[in-house]
Amino acid sequence: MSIELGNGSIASAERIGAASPTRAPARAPAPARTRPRRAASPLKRFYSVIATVVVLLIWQGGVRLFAVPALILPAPSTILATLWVRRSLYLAFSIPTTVEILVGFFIAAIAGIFLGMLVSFSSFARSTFYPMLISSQLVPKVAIAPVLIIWFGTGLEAKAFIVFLIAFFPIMISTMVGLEVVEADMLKLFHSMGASSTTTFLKLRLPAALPNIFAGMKIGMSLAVVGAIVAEFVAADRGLGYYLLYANGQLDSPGVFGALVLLTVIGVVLYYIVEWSQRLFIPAALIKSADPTQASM
Amino acid sequence: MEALLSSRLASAPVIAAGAEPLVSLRNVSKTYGSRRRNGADIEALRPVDLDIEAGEFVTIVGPSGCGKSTLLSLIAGLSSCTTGDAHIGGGRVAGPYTDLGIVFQKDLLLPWRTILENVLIQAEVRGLNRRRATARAVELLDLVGLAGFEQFLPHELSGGMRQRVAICRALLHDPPLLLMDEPFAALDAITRDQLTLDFQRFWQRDRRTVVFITHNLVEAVFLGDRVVVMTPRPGGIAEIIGIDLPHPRPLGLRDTPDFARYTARIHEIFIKTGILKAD
Repeated sequence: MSIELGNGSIASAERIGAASPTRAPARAPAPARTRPRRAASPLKRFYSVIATVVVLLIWQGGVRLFAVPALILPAPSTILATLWVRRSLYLAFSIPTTVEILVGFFIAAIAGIFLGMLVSFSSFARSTFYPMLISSQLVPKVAIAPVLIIWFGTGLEAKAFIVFLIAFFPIMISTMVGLEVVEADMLKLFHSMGASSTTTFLKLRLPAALPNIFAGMKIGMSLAVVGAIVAEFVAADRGLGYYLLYANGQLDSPGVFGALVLLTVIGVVLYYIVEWSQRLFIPAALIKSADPTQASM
Repeated sequence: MEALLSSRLASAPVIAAGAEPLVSLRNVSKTYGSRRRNGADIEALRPVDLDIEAGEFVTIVGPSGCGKSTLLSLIAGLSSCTTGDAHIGGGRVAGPYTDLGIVFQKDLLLPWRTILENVLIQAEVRGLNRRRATARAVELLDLVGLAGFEQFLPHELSGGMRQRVAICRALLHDPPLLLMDEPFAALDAITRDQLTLDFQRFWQRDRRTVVFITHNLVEAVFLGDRVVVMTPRPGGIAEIIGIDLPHPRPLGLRDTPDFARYTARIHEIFIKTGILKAD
């Protein structure tokens, strides 16, 4: 399905001309399309980096100054050293966790978008499946994880399934919401063009729903990381969640923090992959910059 | 421009004077069922008779909620008549009638499509030849003073410019009938005047049949060959006034006694039907 890419350059209406364009006496001068995007001040781009570095320095200095034992709070340098020394182990444990997140998330994205469409278009589906889908969200996932382990074993399937259960709901809901946002007059316009419901869906409803669908996928991706850790807490013999429990049992706080750092990195990277893939479908200028969804762990 | 006019002549049947009206409404009314249980049905439009000749510019004026938009929906077949029948070009309207263009109060441009692509949506949905449609879209955009803006996104244009794009979209497939539902109501007064003038000039060369809804009686008199004055809810036709002023009408015409006689007449009707309360 092709959804047109727009040129992302931001033009201010004021620049194009007066608020009321007059019929051009000759020809409106073709405005240049090569304006640079409004760039943030160079320093502003590094605000977040500077803030992070400052926090790390305070952390490091505080731990040294008050001689906090590594069991309570390891210094950033200690965590880094642990990460480096155990790099092959961390790498080996990052891979299964990442795979669980990705497999679960992809199934959640496909199922969430599909179910969202189904519930949105079929009143039968809305009256039969929708209540079931809602109640499936009210069951605490942590509570049913042991049952899922019994059903699917301790392999990838059970964990991906838990990831899926946690991640699909926001994707489904935001797909439904997105498909409903189309204005009544817009539908009238399409009717008067003789558009079939398929055409209306492909050219109007689906592209209009994309920003919502992607917002839902971003929340879903954040939750998918939580889902993978929950699954590994319940039953696993590998993965960062498993290692978190193991290191905690050994009172190995630097090991725990090392795993947390890696989980955060994985979560942020995956989140930004979703964010970035959104730009393939939606003109950058239309994406709201203020997005409340954040990678979380 | 010449190409546009000739393409119009080639594709639309020219209806000779004295032939059947292009649009014919007979005893058309609309009643909505109440949403509340035991609630009374809501009569949106009382039975209406109206004939619109090909090439005529008919404006429909009335207050909010008087059934103007309902009337337009019934002509376009976007909702079904409770009583009576709407006919266009001799055929009964049953279901959405597609051989027309509609312009709404909101421009309804798709924000993810460029200006050109927004005009071309009309061709895509109808399955028209892409190359010819593109050529016509570029011509139309040039005609409304938007040459050079083809690759812009809607949010980069002002409200008046966007509404011009919406008009281009409504005309892309060269429909014999153009329906406009308060197309300039959302614009500021100066932009509205400009668009009114520009649209009048366009229409004068084009002579397409236009049904134009407005709550602005000055706009109604200024543009219309005939003004259909509505009664308050439940709407019906209070009176149809022929405007005997030659086109093109300059803006200054609005300040002349001739013009004022028409607006005064409409005011009178508004007071008589209770839309306006006189002291």
